[in-house]
Amino acid sequence: MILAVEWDGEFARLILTEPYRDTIKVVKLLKLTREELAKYLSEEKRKLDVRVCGSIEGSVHKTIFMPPLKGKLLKSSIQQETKKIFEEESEYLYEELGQVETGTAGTQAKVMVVGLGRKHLEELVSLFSNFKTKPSIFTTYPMAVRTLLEKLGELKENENVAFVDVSGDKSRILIFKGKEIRITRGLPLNVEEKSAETERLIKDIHQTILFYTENFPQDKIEKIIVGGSFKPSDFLEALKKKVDLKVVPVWAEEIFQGSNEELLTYPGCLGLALLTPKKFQFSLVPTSIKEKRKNRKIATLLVSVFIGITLFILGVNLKYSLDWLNLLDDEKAVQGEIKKKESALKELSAELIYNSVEAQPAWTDFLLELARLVPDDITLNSLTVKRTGKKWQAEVNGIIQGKDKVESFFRAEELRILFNQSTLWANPNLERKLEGDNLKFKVNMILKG
Amino acid sequence: MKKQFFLIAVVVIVLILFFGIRQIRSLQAQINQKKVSVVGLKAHLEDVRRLSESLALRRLKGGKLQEVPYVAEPQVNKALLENFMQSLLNQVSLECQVKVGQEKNSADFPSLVGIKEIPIEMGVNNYSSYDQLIILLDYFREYPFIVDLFTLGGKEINIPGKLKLRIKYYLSPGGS
Repeated sequence: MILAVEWDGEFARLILTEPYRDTIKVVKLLKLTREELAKYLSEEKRKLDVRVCGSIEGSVHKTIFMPPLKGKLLKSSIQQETKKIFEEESEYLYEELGQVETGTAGTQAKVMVVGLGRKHLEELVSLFSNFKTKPSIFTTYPMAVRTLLEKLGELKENENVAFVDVSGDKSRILIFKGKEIRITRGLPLNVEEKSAETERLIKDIHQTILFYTENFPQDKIEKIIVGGSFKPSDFLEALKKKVDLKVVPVWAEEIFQGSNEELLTYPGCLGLALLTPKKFQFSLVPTSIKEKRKNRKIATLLVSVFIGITLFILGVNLKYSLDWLNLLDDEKAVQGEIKKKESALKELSAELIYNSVEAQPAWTDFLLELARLVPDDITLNSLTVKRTGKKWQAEVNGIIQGKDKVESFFRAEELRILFNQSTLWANPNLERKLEGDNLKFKVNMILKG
Repeated sequence: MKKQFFLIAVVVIVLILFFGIRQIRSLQAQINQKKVSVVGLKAHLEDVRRLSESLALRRLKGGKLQEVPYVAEPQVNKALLENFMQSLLNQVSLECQVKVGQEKNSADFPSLVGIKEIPIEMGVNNYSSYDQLIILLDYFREYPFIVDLFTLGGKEINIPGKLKLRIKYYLSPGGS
């Protein structure tokens, strides 16, 4: 169900509609004060698609001509233009109405900008502050009427049409050229109370028509469509006589189910009920809602990031935990295998000992080789062979006496070379130290098993 | 209020990220450490497998070391070994001081195998030639002896003598 609300600053005119075959059935038509509206909304439990439009006051409908730009460039140019158009802070939207030849400036884009003051927009939001369903559309009254007239086939390309909504002291006149809204004007005269004011209203309408003709001399208004709550036939006759134009009442019975008499009292609401939210370009979003949406977006982003990070960390932790468990299993299996193999070695302990004994250096060869390599003029002071792990390290300490110092150095080096050339040991490392005329030396090396 | 909420949310996310990454890194380090340990164990297993194969092959080929008879009683084994050492030294005509230690589990083999060792220290006071020493060392190779330290003129072993030896006698678990 659609709840269409038109707020004129004092009263809310609203209709409740539901689809009925190919038409729309108007279930309820109401005119409520702010308090009554709040009460009505608090009692309304159904799920409604709420659409709302504000009064002419605070709204701007302006057609501007721009160079034929596209995308962001057009948007920024329009932004510059709108700064000049709107006096107060407004939310605005625009629509390209086509391209026109302007002579000197060449081809230009015709753009209609529709804006509503933020203050007015927030007032509309505040009407629904205690209602859980927030409106899906916020727009201006002229845009709602334009939709109605379009659907009724009253707006034809390049045809000028005036629309008059006569309702108590909130009467309004709108002039369209095709889809373009050219004039919007409030007519603050209470026509329902004094007939004198009715004449003044007709005069006011006439003056507006004349103003339009003066400003757009090439465009001639074809007819005046009348809507609103006040429509005595003599008013229509008097208006027709004064403006010398075709005057017709809104005829909405083709689309809506209900008495036309009642329906034309709510032209803005009828227009709202006919809007298709996804296609409608002029749904203005109030700052508070924008703020809420922005906050919701940030909150969603933060929650997504939070969930993403948490899932990532949990995922990685899970993967590593599984890896860890696999490694523990692996380690356990290998340890078990080692234990098994080592236990099996028990049976082969004699061979194991034999192996170790066999791995020892060939002591006999070692002693014979040492005796062979060390020349007679070199005295060995000590020889120590020590087992460290699976290796045997030898340390030979000796002295070269009574020779020239340089020769002693060479003799020691020759000995190191001899050890190095031997197949019984490896990596001989020589240290030399002069003590008086004697050279003390130490050779460290590894015995090959 | 909203700003505070967003700020707190951002701080919470940063903290989760910080601690999460720290935990991940710590897990990574532990896993890497464990991997290294498993690789080491696998290498050890491979060594044991090879050793096992080579020992099995050795058994097939035959060949065995002679053994000094020994029993389950360590003190008796000690006395038996002292006697054996004395007779060995007499055989090669070496004057030698021998110190036989206490029987204990050998650390040179996997503990599961159960090989024991008896440490022996000996100091040879006089030897006429290298030949005597060579005969002694050759004898050692026929028995389950292993030389841990051999020194001529060194002071590593606290026993009198020119040639000093620290050897081990291995006792296989099967007994002689």
